Amino acid sequence: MATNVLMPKMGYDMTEGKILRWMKQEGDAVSKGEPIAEIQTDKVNIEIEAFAGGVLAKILHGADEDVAVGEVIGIIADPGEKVEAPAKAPSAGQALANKGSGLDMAQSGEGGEAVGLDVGAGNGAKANATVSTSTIEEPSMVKQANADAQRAAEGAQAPVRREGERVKASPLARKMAAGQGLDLAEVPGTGPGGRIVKRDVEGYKPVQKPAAFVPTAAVTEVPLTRMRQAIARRLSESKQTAPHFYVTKAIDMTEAVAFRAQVNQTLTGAQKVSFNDMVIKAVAKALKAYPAVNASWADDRIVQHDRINVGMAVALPEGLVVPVINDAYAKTLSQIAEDAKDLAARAKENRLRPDEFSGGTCTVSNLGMFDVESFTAIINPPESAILAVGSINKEAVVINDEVVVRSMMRITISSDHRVIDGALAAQFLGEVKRLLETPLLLVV
Amino acid sequence: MSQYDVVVIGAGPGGYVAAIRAAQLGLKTAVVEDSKIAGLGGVCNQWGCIPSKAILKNATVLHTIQHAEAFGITVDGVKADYSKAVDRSKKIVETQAKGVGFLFRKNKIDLIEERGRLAGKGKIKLEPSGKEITAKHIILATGARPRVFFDMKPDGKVVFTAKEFLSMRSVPSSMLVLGAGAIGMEFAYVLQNYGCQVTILEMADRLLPKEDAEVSAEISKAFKKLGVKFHTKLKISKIEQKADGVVVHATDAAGKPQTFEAPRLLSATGVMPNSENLGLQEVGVKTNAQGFIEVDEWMRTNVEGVYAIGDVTGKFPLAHVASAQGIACIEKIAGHHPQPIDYNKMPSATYCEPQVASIGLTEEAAKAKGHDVKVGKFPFRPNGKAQGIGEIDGFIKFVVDAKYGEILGIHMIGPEVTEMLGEASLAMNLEATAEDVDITVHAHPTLSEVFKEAALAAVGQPIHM
Repeated sequence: MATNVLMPKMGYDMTEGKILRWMKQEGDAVSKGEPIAEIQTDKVNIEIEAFAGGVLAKILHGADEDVAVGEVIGIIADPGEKVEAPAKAPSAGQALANKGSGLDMAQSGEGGEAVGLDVGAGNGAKANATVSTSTIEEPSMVKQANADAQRAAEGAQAPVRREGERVKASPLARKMAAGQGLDLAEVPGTGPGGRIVKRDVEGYKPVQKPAAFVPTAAVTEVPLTRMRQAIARRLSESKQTAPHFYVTKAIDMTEAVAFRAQVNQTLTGAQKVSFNDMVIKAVAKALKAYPAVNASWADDRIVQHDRINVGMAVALPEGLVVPVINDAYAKTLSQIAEDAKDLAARAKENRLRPDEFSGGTCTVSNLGMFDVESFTAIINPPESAILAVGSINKEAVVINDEVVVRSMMRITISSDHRVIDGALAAQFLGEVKRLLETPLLLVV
Repeated sequence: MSQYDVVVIGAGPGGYVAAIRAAQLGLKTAVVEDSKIAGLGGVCNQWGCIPSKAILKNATVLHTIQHAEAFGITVDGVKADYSKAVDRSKKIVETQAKGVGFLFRKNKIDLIEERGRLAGKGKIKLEPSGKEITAKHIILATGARPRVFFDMKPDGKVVFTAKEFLSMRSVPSSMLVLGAGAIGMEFAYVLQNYGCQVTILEMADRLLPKEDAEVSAEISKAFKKLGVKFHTKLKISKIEQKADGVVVHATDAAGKPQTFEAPRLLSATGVMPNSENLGLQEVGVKTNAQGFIEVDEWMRTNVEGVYAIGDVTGKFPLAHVASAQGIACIEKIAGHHPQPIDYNKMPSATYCEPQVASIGLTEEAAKAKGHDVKVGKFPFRPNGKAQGIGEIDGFIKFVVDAKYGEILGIHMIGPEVTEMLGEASLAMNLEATAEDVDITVHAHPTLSEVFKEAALAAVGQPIHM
């Protein structure tokens, strides 16, 4: 029996993926569970494994092709079985709709000041790094059948455009949409078969969007990578929907500097602790103390997360990604150090597994390595807070009416006011400060 | 007492098409039609579109023979018996009516040859039998009839409407045609070719006043060449209908009194609805001041279960509009989701020579609606096919909105332009822009190349100019 190999959905905001290479060619025998192709999403490269054994009978999309989520990219069949390419791929993806997604940014500096940029990861169901085609296919087929039945019942009146489906529109509607800068895919069509016609474009009220940039002088156009598109989309959405506010505290890191020097004398290799690791640990402990911060806005309610998964923004040449240190509260500082180094290294090689950049509940972004004193970061939805960590500098501070030299570091928390109020943010950040200023608390 | 899902009163192009669609969608359907009124196919078939096209063909054949010298063919002793043209048209009408009857039987539609009248909710009283039938949905498709002014009595001897005209078996030496709409123009063309001196009397400022002004100007030239006399901007005060002819008293545009005399007069001044004796008042169906039945976008009247389609609704007295209304009405009844009818995209055709065909807004109307109008016009004269068939008069004109190239209207005058209405309608209905028409390859050598060139003229530079 022929089995379709589908473009998997590796995150709720993934709409298409690129086929990097086929590891099997048409006619090759494949066994169940064997990797057959490698795909690239806007975050990672991933291997797709065969759900069924047999022969790779057809490759429908070759290397370098962008394919919509859920579309059939190949067919595995029994040896000798005749297969035909499906007219239209069933929309799969949603079945796996894992709510999380890694994102964007930062990296922890080895030894010295940690660095970071912005933003973190999502939360939710876990995806497997290697995706079995069947886990997508079966529920989605059922879903498809239901959708079709519903569509038939509704007639053409309320067309449902499925993900990846061709946008049917009249030439005039296309021109009008282009002229008005509308994305036709967002316009509901009321013409025959859901075709978008003039009246649909005329009647469409677009969601408020910033005006497109119009170049006025000589420019160099840089094509958008998937990662850049994801950053643009996610962060615009975050800044526009989540009401951000910011609270900054100066933290005396003098004790932390001494503590770190001391423990790193005995720790070796990957276990050596960075300041960012300490911040992550402090944030994890503070989240435990203030579970209201470890939460997400869910339109009609607030969801508090049981797990404490701290994302760390890692800068990459083409953008950033936010690998997640899961259960950071339960991990020791040296475990966090090991995890952080491993994740940052693999992030730079595009080798993160989806579950490693999804499911975060709060993010740490660090620009200390760039000698940034303080900054503000954009919350990585669906999280509600992100901590922007600056550099550690020796400063003259007044303690007990004496001017003394201390190593100071500033952290600014960006909070989603729908979930976190000012006093809570201040208390939470105060707890982070208390932990970092008394670093032994991080190990008890 | 018979019970139906749908009963259609009237078997014209609205009613019979609606009935077939209803039957196709599994609705138990009957059509009530008193053949003494019109018969199967309605006015369109009995004394409208179909017989007139047959007679017009006779006129064009005769015209070609009379002008055969242009092809180097000498024809002597041409005899054209007009009564034979009428006979020919009657045969065609019969064939077409039989076709409708066949479609009824094929689709198991009951044809009830009586008069129908609303008799309460879901009830129709049949006359003269007095029987009653019931239907969940009653569709009034009773059409319209010529509207006659100045107390004239169409008698088929001196005063004619289209109905009497199509049974007229001889051509008089001269005839007055009242009204320069499609019907007046077509019959004027027939008469003039059969040797009758036609004088067209029109109140508006031009021939075919509903068409684009440039089309009117072009047809005026052609009719002048044909020998038709016409007077526009006339104010007619009185028409005397005598035993042996008519006298029309009028004042012209300059205010000068004019009289026109002829042995016969064709009145072609629009239609009035057949909305009497239908029981509308009894069940409370609303009509407007002229008696047309008021309907919503799905042809529903204000009374639940009662619908009206076609000429009786007063939208466009055109067969294809009636059919379109009928189909939309039935599909809505059957729970489908038909597209609403866009009355701005209804094609219309006039079958004199050169033919006139149009759809959408005229240039004037488009400007009045505030469009930033671009016009693309291309004549038939340079077209190879037009040259070959010796019919080089006319042009095609695109009226386009400058912003997105939206086609607002297409106006055509020239050889076989009525057959190009399909393309025009398709383009407008699918919302093709003038550019899309331009990039569509049109076969050479065809008259339709002019269509493409006109579209190109609207968006850029035509090739063959």
